[in-house]
Amino acid sequence: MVSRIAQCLILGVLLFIPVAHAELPGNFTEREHRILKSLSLAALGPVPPSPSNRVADDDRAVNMGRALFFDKNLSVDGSLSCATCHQPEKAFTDGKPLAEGIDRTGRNTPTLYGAAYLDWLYWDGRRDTLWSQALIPFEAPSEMGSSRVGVVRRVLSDPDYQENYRSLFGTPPEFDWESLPDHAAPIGDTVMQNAWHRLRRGEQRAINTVFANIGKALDAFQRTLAPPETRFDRFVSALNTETTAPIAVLATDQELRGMKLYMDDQRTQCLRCHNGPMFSNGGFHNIGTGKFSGEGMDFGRVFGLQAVLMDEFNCLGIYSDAEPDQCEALGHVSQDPHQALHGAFKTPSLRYLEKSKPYFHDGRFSSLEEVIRFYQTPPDQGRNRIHELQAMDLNTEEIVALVAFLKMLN
Amino acid sequence: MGPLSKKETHVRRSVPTAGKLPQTLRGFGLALMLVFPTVGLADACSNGCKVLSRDGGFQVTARPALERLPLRRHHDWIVVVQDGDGNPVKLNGLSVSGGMQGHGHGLPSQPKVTEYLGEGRYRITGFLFNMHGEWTLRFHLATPDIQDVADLTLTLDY
Repeated sequence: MVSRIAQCLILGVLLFIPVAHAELPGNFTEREHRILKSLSLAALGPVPPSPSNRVADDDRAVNMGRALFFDKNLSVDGSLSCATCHQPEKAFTDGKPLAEGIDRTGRNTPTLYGAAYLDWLYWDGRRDTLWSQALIPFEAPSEMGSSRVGVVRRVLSDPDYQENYRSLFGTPPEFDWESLPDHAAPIGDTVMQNAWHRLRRGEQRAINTVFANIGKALDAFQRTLAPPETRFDRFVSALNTETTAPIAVLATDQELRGMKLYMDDQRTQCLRCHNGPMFSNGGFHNIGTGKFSGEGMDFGRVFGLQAVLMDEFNCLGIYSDAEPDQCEALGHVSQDPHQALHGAFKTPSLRYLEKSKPYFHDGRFSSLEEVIRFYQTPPDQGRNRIHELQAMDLNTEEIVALVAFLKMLN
Repeated sequence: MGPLSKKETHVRRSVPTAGKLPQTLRGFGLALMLVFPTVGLADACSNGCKVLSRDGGFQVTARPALERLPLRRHHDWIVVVQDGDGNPVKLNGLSVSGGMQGHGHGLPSQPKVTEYLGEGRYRITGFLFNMHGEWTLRFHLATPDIQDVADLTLTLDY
């Protein structure tokens, strides 16, 4: 038996070692080639269904959502729209460390490219659908500062919106606008909250229904924001044709060195979290950037988890169009807020970094070199500083190469 | 669950079930495992990974319900539980925990047993793996007489 295994071992080595180490154009191994293909936009696939939103793929909802997205009249003072922070020319970010609405917020604005593929929205995953996410900025005092009553009032008083709404969702509830306050919401300042709690339950439900539907139109529009192809995607496409010439045109030697470093588990481990076509695994990871006291305090996912479970607009809530078993992410959310969730944030995409800087949940780094230096010397581990990082050890030339590769994703 | 501590971890290297393969093929498969100790995402446990529970009371054979094990996508597994003699076991309790010891984090989702399929077979929904590397799945098994755990170590690679 032992000799038979030995024979087979030799046979296995002879048969498979040459294949495993075969070099493709660009001197990539088969494994590296598989990784590169998995990172390309060609592997992204169609936008996944949104079962909680029955109008998610309706063109009329897309058009209504587009109008809502750019409508400044939905903010409390008419000065801000969704596009104020999510600017199309900046990959739907704003170029600021922390988003600025009515006031400065506590988080960096993430790109909307690829958002339709995410199970969790916000850096802490406090929302599980794109439409429920879209509702928060309307009411956040530091963002658009309005309220659900204010937003519903504005939308249903506009003839165009009203027509769109009717065609998508049917006749809206009839409200006695004379008796309703200008603004009312269960969050926000005490005036808004008191006004909300004075409404009858039926009125609250009707307002919430229209408010949720406004979010669903915004969801439909944002689902159309397809991530643009980059030079990296064209490079992988050329690689698949197994010709060397286009590869040399599409990537420099320095970029190729950076690419190989990116895929090297021993040297960088980038790929562990920044994987897949959006260069993000969509998960929550603790890299030691949480802040547990003082100014800028941010616990990350541990509170986001509680928020999404309590959200009345989540996939399992009464305003969702999904059957419970269609809410895969929320239905299987890990509810154990163990230590790693304290200070964990969602892995951001590495696409379009030039347009989406600065970086990290609090916009603390303005250059990719700074980000890589952070990974070279991660924070010390301690009682309140438990994280997943192992220090990288790249020399200056390697750092430059890695940055050069990341810039192929712009 | 929290990160698995060394104390509570009892990892047994998973061995794909050989089934009725001819002996030479089994030997060849073993040779391949020695050459390539990691399994490809496409093939991980596709023929079932079999582990013995810590105290030896149960044999657990687990395989993904999909042909290709996906990254970043929820999916189901089928788990077969047998006693030491290979007889199917209908459990009173079955749950799953786990994580990546090397990274100090648990599973990114909470798989749930949703259906007993008969003959000791269970459908577990909601598995999610979001990075390659070594994962541990811990199956918690209970009958009125026995409580035990079985650890399956799974190395995912491209």
